[in-house]
Amino acid sequence: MPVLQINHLTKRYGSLCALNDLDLTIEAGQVFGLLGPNGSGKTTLLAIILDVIHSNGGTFQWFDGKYGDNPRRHIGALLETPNFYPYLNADQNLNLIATIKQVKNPPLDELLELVQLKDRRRSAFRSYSLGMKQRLALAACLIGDPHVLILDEPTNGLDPEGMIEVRHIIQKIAAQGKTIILASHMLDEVEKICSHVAIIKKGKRLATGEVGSILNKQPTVELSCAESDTEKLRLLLENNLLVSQLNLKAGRFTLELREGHQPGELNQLAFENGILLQHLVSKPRSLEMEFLEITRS
Amino acid sequence: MNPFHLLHLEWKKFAPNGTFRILALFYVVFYILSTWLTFLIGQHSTFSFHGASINPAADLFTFPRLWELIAYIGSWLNLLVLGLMGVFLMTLELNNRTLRQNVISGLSRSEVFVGKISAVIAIAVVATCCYLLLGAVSGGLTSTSITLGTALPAPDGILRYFVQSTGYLLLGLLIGLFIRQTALATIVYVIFFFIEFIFSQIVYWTIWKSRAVFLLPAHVLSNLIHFPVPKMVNNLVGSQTMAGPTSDMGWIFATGYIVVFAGLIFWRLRKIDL
Repeated sequence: MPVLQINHLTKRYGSLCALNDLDLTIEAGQVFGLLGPNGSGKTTLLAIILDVIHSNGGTFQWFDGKYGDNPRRHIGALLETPNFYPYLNADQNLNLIATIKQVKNPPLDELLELVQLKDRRRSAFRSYSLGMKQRLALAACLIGDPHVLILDEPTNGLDPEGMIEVRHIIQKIAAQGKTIILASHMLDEVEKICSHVAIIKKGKRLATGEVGSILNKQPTVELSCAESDTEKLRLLLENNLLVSQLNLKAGRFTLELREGHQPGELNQLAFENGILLQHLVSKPRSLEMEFLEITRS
Repeated sequence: MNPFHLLHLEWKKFAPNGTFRILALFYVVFYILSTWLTFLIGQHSTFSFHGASINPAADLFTFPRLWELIAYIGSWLNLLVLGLMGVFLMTLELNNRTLRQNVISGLSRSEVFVGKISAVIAIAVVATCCYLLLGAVSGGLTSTSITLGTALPAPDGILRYFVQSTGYLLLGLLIGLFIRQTALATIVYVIFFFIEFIFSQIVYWTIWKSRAVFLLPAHVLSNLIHFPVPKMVNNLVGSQTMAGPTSDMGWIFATGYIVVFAGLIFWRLRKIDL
């Protein structure tokens, strides 16, 4: 069952088109990464599907229409920055969310334990650090045990320690089998956590699918040889059908092989031409490399 | 969610807030203080007004005229404190982006509207209770002969107080929703009354010499409750020369403005990008 079905969603701010006829389907149980450079329309998309802003065209439907026109009580969401009443403490803010979600006796102890805020539960929200605010927002997302979690740049503005803490919490939640929609430009984060991904740029969907299917199967290869052979090797690689992209930096070549070829063939080619390779490393392509290639093309 | 749940939600949001508490306290304390000072200044004096001799201690500070005086004192606090409370009820949410978070968490925009209207009605009810309580206590202390007929306020007077409170609160809420910034919205709320006064005077004296000019919202709301002395003088001298503006039209227009304010708030809440 699709948890979220988006059809031809469009949003314009004057002449700027923030979302351009966007289609997307997210199935139950997926950990779905929404990737895109800053200003690509990720937050706009999430704000529309959470009824915070209005679209100019297109439709979206949550849970196949199962919960009518207000399904948001079954969704936990952190959109951009955490927004709470600054003069209320963690308990009071979470209780408010529980009232809105119509959850009786929310497990506040458990939630505050999970986000490590139990010691500061009586402190006013305004006294929290950014990391603590972000963690409280995560706890708020989990009230009512929602079917879907939407997390928009959950590690934004955090220090490295805070990032790791938040990432661990998300991984714990993901392990429970919940559907998660994670918008981020932290590509390694998405690669580690997500099962599916969509890449958006200027409001248009450029690619979507399983993370594995998005990643190019061809690895990136690094190689080097004796300095006296570098020019000879460059000419050999440039004029060879094995290689699709070639870069030379500080005496080290970085290249991509055409489909169907293996790194070992490079070693053989060099040897047959009297060049002895000193270094040959094959690296699987990262989501970051794929993202850059898709968004630049 | 039903309106009582939504009112409870508003209570949870605002009851612990410092500014809200100060405004509420200000309303109660200044209401008592202003009434006490009026009594203190007026109790040993007599004054002449349009040829009629008035003894406040006997004529104004006792039942049933006292109800009008207490309502008049309260009407200034309604204008100043309740209006600002209305502004604050909205701008606090918009500045902290908590209205946005409420919607994300599952509140529909219609529920946001019902919640705010419930809060406005509840505050207006409490304000009206303050008026009744202060009137009853003051009258009990100052009146010598108390009968049920004189000690009870006119139902129409209670309703006027409630409608005026609701009107000012809604006007504040509306201005807060459009301006969004607390300080700016407060200034706009205060300036609104001056601008309307100046505008209506200019129109009346230069373009259109009709009382219809004074049917603008601020004038209509403030005219729901009158200073009791002119009416008292009319009774004393048996003349209608000091009569205030006709009240029935004011009623209709005040109710109409309340419906318009509420409608605009609903429309804006439905359309706004949070």
